[in-house]
This record gives sequence, C-alpha cells and structure tokens, in this order.
Amino acid sequence: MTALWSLNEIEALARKAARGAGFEWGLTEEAGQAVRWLEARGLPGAKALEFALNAGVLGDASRCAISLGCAICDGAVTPVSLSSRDVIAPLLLLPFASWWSEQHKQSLTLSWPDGAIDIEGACFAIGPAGVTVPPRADIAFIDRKARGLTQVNVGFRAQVDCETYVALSAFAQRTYAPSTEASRLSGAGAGLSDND
Amino acid sequence: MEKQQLRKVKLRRPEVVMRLERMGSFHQSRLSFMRVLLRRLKSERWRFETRVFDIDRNGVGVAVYCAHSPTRSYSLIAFANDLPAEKRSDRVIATEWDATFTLFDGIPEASDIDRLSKNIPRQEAGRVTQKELSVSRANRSARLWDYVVECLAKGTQPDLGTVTDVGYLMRTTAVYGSGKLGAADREATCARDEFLAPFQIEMLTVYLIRAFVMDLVEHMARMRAPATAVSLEGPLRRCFGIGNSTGLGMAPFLINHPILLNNWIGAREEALARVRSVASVDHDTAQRFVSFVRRARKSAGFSRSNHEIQTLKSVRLCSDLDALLDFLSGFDFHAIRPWDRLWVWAETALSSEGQEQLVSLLFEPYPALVDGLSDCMSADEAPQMRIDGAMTLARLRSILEDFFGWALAIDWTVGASQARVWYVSEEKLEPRLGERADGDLNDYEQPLGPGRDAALLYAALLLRDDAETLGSFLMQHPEHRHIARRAQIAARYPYAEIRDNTIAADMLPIDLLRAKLSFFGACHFDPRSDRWVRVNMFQNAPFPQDLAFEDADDWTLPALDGPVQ
Repeated sequence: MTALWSLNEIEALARKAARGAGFEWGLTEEAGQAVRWLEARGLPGAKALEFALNAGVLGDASRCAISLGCAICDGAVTPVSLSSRDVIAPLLLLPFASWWSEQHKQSLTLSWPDGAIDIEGACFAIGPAGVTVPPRADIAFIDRKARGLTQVNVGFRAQVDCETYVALSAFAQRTYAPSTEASRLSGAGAGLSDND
Repeated sequence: MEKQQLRKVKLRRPEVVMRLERMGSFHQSRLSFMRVLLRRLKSERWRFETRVFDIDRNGVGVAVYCAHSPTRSYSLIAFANDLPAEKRSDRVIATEWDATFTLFDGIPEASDIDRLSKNIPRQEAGRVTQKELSVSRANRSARLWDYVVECLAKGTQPDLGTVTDVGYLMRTTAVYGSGKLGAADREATCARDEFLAPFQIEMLTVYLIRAFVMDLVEHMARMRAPATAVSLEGPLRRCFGIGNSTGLGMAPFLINHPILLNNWIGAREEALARVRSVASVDHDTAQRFVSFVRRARKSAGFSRSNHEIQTLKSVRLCSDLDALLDFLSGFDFHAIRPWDRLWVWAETALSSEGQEQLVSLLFEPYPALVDGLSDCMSADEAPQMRIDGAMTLARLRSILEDFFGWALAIDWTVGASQARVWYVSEEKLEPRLGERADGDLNDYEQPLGPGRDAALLYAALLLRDDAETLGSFLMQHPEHRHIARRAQIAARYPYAEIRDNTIAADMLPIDLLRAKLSFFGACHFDPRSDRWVRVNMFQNAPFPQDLAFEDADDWTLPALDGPVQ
C-alpha cells in the first residue's frame, strides 16, 4: 500500500531518518534533497534511503551512496572513478550524478547489473529494462556524448510505500528526545493557562 | 531604475544588523508580508464573497469565504466548533479548537468540504491534499468573546477600552503552509504572482479568518437575541485583529533558512539605504513623516505587556520617540540628504528599539523606493545549498575569520557559551530549548548553534594543509559538512548569519520570534515568557469588502485623531 505525501514532508522525513541512523547533519541535508529529487521524478527515493539506512553503512563511507554522492558533487572523486564499486542503494547516486553532470556539462551513464540510466544534466532516461532499486549492487559510471534527452516531468507529490514510511519514521524517531517533566516545562507557553 | 542611482549611502554592516538584540527590536514596515498582501489585493481589485455560512446557534458549522484574483480563486473553509473552556489550550499539544481552517486552491465542491470536514478539525491528526494551501486553527479569547456576544445581543456596542485591551476575538495557534500535513508544497504555487512574496498564503489565510471571526461573533449575537441584536459599528469593528501566539516552533526557522533571512534583511537594508540617499525632501513629505512618528509614539504609549523584557523595551521606545520628535522640531529638512543626517543622529541618540522603529518610519513616505523590494524577499534555496568542494581550506579559513570572527572570539570551553541545547521533543515533535547541564540532551541536539560549529571547524582547519580542497577534507570529516555549507552561503549572502551565539545561557528566543513576526507585519508584541509571544495581526486593517474604497496600506499605526487601537 502506498500513500501520497508532500515533497516537504518526504524531504524532512528523509533528513530526520538519516540523522536517526547516525549520519552527520551535513550529509542528512543532502540525503533529504536526494530523496526529494527522486520522488519528485516518480522514482522510489524513500525506498532507496530505507535500504541505505538498514544496511548501516555509516562506518563505510566508501559504499554509502549518500557519502559517495556528496564526494562526487564536491569534486573529491569523479563518477567514473567509482566504477565497479559495490554501492548500497545505488539509485541514490542518481541525483548527485545529475547535479555533477549539470555543473560539468558532461553526460554520463549510471548502471548496475539490471538497470541503466543515461544522465544529461537535469535530464535522464531509464533504459528499456525499467528502473530497479537494488539494496546494493556493483555500479558503473561511464562518460558519454549527449544525445539530447527530453526534460523529465517533475511533480509535487511523493508516492511512498507505507512500510517504507514506517521504517523511515522509526529512524526519525531516534532524533526526538524523550519527554521529561523538565522538558515539558521548558517548552513554549508551558505551565501557563490560555483561558484569557 | 538602477540600484546605483537609488542608493548613495552604504548598506548597514551585517555586524551591526544581525545581532539578536537588534533583530528583537524590529517593527512591522511597508515590506511586511501582511502589507504586501493588502496592497496587492487592492491594486488587483480582488473580489470577495461569503459563499457558505451555515453555523448553528451553538456556533457549530461551516463557512466558505472566497477571494477572487483577476485570474484565480482561493477559498477559506472555516469549521466552527463549540469547545468547552477546559479544552482550550494555546499549545501545539491541544487536540480541539474553537475553529479550524484551510485555504483551498479554487472554489470547493460539496465533496471537498465533506472530505475536509473529516480532516481539518483534527489538524495534525488529519490529512489534506495538494488542493489545500494552508491548515490553521484558532481559539476564542475567553476574555472578550462572551462579552462582545453579550453586548451585541443586548443591542449595545462593546466598550472600546475593553476591546482594545485584548485586541482580538480569536487567536491562531498555528498557520501551516508549505506542504505540512499533505498540503501543497510552496514550490507548487510560488511561481504565481500573488505568492511571489514570502508567506502570502499564510497571510491571506489569516486575513480571511479575521473576516470570518467578525461575522461569526455577530451571527452568535443574532442567534441569541434576534429581536435586539446589532452588528458592530464600523470603526469599532476594525479595532479587532486576529491574535497569534507563537512559541519556540518558529524560532529555529530563521537559522534554518539563511538565504531567506538574507533576502528579508537585505531588502529592508536596501530600502533604508535608498531613503537615506534621498537628496532633498519637500515640505509635504517632511510633514507626512513627522505625522508617522507621532502615530508611532501614540502606538508605543499603549503597550499592554506585563512581561518585564517587553515593558523595558516599550519604555525605551517611548523615550526614543520623544527624543526623535524633539530633535525633529528643530530639524533642518532643507539640508542635503536630510534622512541620512537624521539617521546618523539616531545611531548614537537612540537605542536599537528606537533605531529600528525609525527604519520602518522612514519607509512610510516612500512607496516608490520601498514597495518593489518585496519582490526580492523570497528565496529558491535548494540550488544554493551545493558545496563548492574545490575551495581551498585557506580560503574557507579566511571566510570563517571574516564572517564568524565573533564566534572565534568566544571561549567555548566556558559553560555559559553553550549552556543551551536546541532539540525536538518526542512528545509533540516541537522544538525545545534545554539546559546542557541537565544532561542527556547532547545526542538530540539540532544544528542550531552555527557559531560554536564554526569555531570547531576553524580549529580543525588549523591542523590541515592550506592547499587542501574542501571536498577532500569533508570526505574525512563529514561532521563539518553542515557548517562548511553555511560558511560558503555566508560568504555569498551577507545577512545570512546571525552574529550572536544562539546557544548561549543568556540568549532570548523571543528575539528570533519578534524578528520573524515583524516581517509578517505583526503588531503589539506581548511576550508571555522569554520563549513565547502573543501578537496582533491585521488590527485596524480594512475588511475585504472595504478594500476597494479605502487605503489598503495605512492601518498599522493609529490615526492621531482616532482610538489608540
């Protein structure tokens, strides 16, 4: 079963979930943006993030799509240098590759054993086999010439599996401090009546 | 017009403007979002109609208020409730309200109203769709509601003093937009002209809520005593605004949206510099300005707050405005650039309360110089969040020295420097501010202390090679990614960062609240603690049906010959 969410809701959930899984704040911001970017384009970004967080990739930035995506965008690594790498939730690399491609005006193909996506800046095209969301896969990036991909439709709703939503919410829950009497009293307006 | 032609004096420096104490002294101005909205409704001749008003004698039912722009329609759908007094809570943790609202994109069908009747009254426990632009709720002012209904039912008008003592019949406790609870994302509508300025959806919601609340109170009086009930008289009716009470939930917003904050402050500073650059002032303009100062003085003399912080601020504002009026009585308006001379005087003669009030007052006679800047106040933040990984660490260090010098000068080993922890509570998911010394909160800390984080990054950079790139550094130190991004934003957007410690022992969250609420256009700040404030919105504004015949933008300060407000 799926439900519809606003993109802001999904981005905020993704950010909090990544934080709950132990990601540094700066990386959670990219995680939120990446999931939002994918969901706005009808791709299962939230599902991919669920894979990434379940895999507990924190200790291993070299296989984490969020960390690798950031490194690509920061220019610390090139996409092609990541080829043949075993990556958790490789779909999450797509937004970063798109941002890199836009900035460097270089077209790419991102592929894993049963999926391939051509990327030209903000445009991308999924191969005939359709998109799969493997929990992990050996990926390849190759540089290639632009072939004039058409603009991708960008929407404003995220259709997310309820199970994924619940799983991400459980990670997000870890970012909330348990309530204590002291915390209740330190809240805004706490202990004051509002019947005037 | 080129900026260069409009502005001969420099913008105020961020080090001066971006201090919490000063931001906590901001006042509403021509650039406030409520005023931007009403100017547009008037200039585009929006039409308004009450399409549905189906409310029983207990005050339970639904109403639909439509606002028609030249090209689109928006509808406030109001669900009125009969709430027992013991359930009336101001806080996010409430579960029932006197009235709940949504702003609908278009004109709702019966099926829409039916769907929303099952969701809007439940607020956080309900869901809405992309057709809904906002979700809001309000409670009656128990102080005033019963009194006004009783007066009107008896056929008398309520006492002006009693009315202005509270200033509103209902107080909103949340106005959600931007995709909250499933509503339309801001990005889905921000390209529409009417939503180019920030928070226009929320402001339109509140403006229509006010119209509904006034109709409701008169309706309740008529239901109670059809033979004797009267309506509120025009001028008295306008004395009612909509209250708002705002707590810590709003405080992190300005820290979390540095580019938006920059654009708000930047527009205001640009406007100030433009007015200060005016070469000469004619007699009428000078008199108009003096009249605005007198009106501000009249307003300041009527502060209702019982909170010590606000009482002191109000006293200071009154004495500042007295000093300003005194200075103006001998002021030579014929000299070159008189506003700049006035400003330079104010910088030493007035406190920040008076100076920031003067900023707003200087805008009043200059719609042509000021009003267009409201178009520059929104921000498309996402594309600006990319990190420039090619930057060298030497360059990043020099940015930190330039923009976070204040933070590098703080001794962060002293407990008071990071005494506070911003966190989110499990109970109702609202931001809270705790004491670090109480323990157990560090793991839940939100990234809302950029000064401390900048100092940590700076210390880490001192151990690295100057020529190393930021991209390579962040691969090994992702814990600095958040603040590195902020630092790069700060270097591009001068007013993006508050130059004060937001986790210090003596930090006052109400300073953040007031800065934001002043940009909304709120008046009458009445803090209930250092982290919770009540304000009044749209008080004295013309009602929708009056907009066509009246000045849409001269209501925020009391008339010299009218009631105090």
